[in-house]
Amino acid sequence: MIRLLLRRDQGTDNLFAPALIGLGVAVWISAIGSSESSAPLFSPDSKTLTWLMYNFTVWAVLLAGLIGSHYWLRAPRLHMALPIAARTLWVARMMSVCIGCGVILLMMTLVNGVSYEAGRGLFVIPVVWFGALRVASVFLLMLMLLQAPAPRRRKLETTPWYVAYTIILWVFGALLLVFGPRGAWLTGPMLVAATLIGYRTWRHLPRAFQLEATEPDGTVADDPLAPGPTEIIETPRAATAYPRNGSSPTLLHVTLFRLMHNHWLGWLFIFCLTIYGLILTINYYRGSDTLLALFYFFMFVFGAWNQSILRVHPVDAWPISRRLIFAHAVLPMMIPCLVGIGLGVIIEESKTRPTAMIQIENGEMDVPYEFRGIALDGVPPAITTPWGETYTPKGTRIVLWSDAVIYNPYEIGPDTSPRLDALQIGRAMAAVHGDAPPDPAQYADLEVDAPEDEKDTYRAQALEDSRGRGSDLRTKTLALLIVLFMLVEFPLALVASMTYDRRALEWIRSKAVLVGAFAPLTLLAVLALPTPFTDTRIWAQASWLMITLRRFAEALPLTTAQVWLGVALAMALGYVILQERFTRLEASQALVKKKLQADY
Amino acid sequence: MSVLQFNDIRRAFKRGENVLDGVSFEVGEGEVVGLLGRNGAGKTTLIRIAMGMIEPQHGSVRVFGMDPTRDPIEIKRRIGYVSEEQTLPGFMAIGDVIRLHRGLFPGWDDLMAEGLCARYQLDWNKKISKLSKGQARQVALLCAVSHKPELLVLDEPAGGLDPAARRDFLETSIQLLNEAGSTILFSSHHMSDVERMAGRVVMLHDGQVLLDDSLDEMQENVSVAIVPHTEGRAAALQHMPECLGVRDRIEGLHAVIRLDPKRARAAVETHLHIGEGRYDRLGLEEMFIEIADGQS
Repeated sequence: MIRLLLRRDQGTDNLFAPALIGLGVAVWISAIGSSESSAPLFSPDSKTLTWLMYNFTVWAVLLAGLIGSHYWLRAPRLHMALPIAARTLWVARMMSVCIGCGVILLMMTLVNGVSYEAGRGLFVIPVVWFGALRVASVFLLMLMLLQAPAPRRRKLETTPWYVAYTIILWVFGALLLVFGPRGAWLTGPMLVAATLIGYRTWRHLPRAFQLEATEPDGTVADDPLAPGPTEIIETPRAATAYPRNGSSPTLLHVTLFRLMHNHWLGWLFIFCLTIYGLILTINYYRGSDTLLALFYFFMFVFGAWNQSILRVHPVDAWPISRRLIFAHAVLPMMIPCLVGIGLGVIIEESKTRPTAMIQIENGEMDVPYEFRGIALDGVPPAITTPWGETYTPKGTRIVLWSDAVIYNPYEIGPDTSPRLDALQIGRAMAAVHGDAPPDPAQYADLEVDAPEDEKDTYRAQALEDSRGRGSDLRTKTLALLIVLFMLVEFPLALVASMTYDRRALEWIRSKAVLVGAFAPLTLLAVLALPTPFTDTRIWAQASWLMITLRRFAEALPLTTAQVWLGVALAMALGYVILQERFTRLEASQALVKKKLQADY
Repeated sequence: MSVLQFNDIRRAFKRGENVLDGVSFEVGEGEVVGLLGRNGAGKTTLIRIAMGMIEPQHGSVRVFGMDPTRDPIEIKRRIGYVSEEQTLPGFMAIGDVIRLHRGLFPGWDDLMAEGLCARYQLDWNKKISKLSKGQARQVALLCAVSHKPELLVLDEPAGGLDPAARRDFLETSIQLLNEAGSTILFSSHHMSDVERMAGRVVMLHDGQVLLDDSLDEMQENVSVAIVPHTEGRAAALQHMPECLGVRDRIEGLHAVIRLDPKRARAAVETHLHIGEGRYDRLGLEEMFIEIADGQS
């Protein structure tokens, strides 16, 4: 019986989605862990950070899974008509929630666990294997606590009180995982507590759920988490008068915004867009990767756009211009983008010691991806100085089955001489900031009075001139990167707002656009998958793209301002084209039908 | 003058599966037309095409002489629309819904809206999500009729309502608008509603217009012939030009003939050379069942 119910349940009817989410996040974590810039953060010296990062990420993803499985529902309405005891329905529902979220955890554990075993990526401490047991047990306890209130109800109303209760429990769970005991023994007490609380709820379940649960005295059950009864003073309520006045345009705008963006997914998009706007800006200033930040940024833009066009249906019968609806679908997304970027600028510009695009950390000099080099034969060219010193930079493989490697032409090693360091720093600053290229001969007689153990301090001091300086070429390359992402996302948006096909030609065209639009995303996923298990790296693939774009930017006979003007024009053109497409969009019935049929 | 005009409308949602396959008819000013058909016959799709919510893949549609895909706003301002699926935003209070509609429809009549409010005893502060299905539909009707639309389009408007609420709902819309000369197009599965409201019936089947006649004409000039089974008789009946459908039942073949019983008997006798059989008039519900079943 329970198996049959599980097959009908929303949490388990499509396990592909949670599996994909788990896989995606796991690969993302591994990619971050293997990233050149963030790897030092996760070295064996920073176990606590790794611990925090892993537990926090897993816990956040499980929260999304929990919401997606509608944890507040004890039994779907349709199941109430079946001759099945409420306890069986509840057990099936809880199992469904656990299976859905368990698949996410399982995928993450498998990918990250194997990644750890292979000695690569983020996991320099064994947080994954036994960590999964801890997470699973705390998750189960939280679920049982969330299910504990008002056991007579078929569905826990998502009142502000219940939402607050959920948040408090979830924060408590996160704190427990991050700062609580680290041993696997924590699993035991958590499971015992979850079993006791679950058993208590199970015992108090009615024989059959009712749509509107009543208390033993026959009254309708109140909000289970609302404050206790207080003295009720009957106040005469004035009969409300017909709203004779008012029809402000603000009401229409607010209604459109609420319809399109005021849902948990909408706020998640708004949050993510703000965060990625911020990350993008800070990464730009720091000389770090802008590609991945921009990729996620555009991904959330597209996600938000796709969600908002799904919600056009309720307003479709109103005499409102589709252009107005389009503006409401698109422009609110721009605000969090701009807020995030603005915040990043404020943070960076207000620093008393400005950030440098060229960094020296752990004895290595880092330049932005676009300023690195590609060696197709797998051997980076050696640097030979006039005074006879030679240094060969390290190479990192870009993809499997290819010898091509990415290298840092401005690399310095632990044993390089101060003269070579100074030359490399001068060359890096020339490349990044557009200074005049240094003459190697002038470094030949350079004497630096720096003891070996203060080498890093000396090198960092040599880079002080880089602080607070921009990079014209990097700005130009970023503009081209935005254009590239627009070229990927624009066809996607076109396809998403496509009306039904009319002629064979249009059908073929739309499918071709669809394939073309998804190809880069598929390629990225294919490239990312082997990184936890091989010596290829996501950052190397990102560098390859950025280097190509930088070369294109160098060859482009336009100034940076002209390129950015082109980006603005391309955006405006894209807006107009999408707007025209949107006016012919046929609103989806999907959400309405889902709501009518599923009653979730 | 025709308010609504469909001309050879075709529409598919999957390739090769036309939901509407060459639908043509007109609705004149002041007419009340009931759109009938089984589930999936294409009623809702046709109504959405009239509203400009979806486009036909072939043919043309004109509402007040305009193309709904080119002039959707102008058309929607003159239409009142209630559908089972077209829900009002649940987060809005009734008062806000009215304020919103007052701003959207220039012809908003506060007197009419206030009258309906009083009749339905609506609480302005109550949110749509807190209303019963019947109350929510009453608010939708209030919004659809209070701007005195020239055309009222009702797509299964009373679906899920109890008989009293359904009667009240339909009578309100008829009373308020038909008397004012508004045109009404509505789809329903309740034949009693159609009989009470409609002056004309358009029956869709498999995306095509199977029957388009005034209700009086249909009740006068459509009859059922019940004749005994014999080999090939069903096919022979189907070939009669006046035959709308044949059903094979235990007591014999039921053939719906588009003639009054007397002329139907004469026609069957001429075509099939049989003297036996029974010929009766049909109520709308029986007619719908006989035709819809006889076609499938």
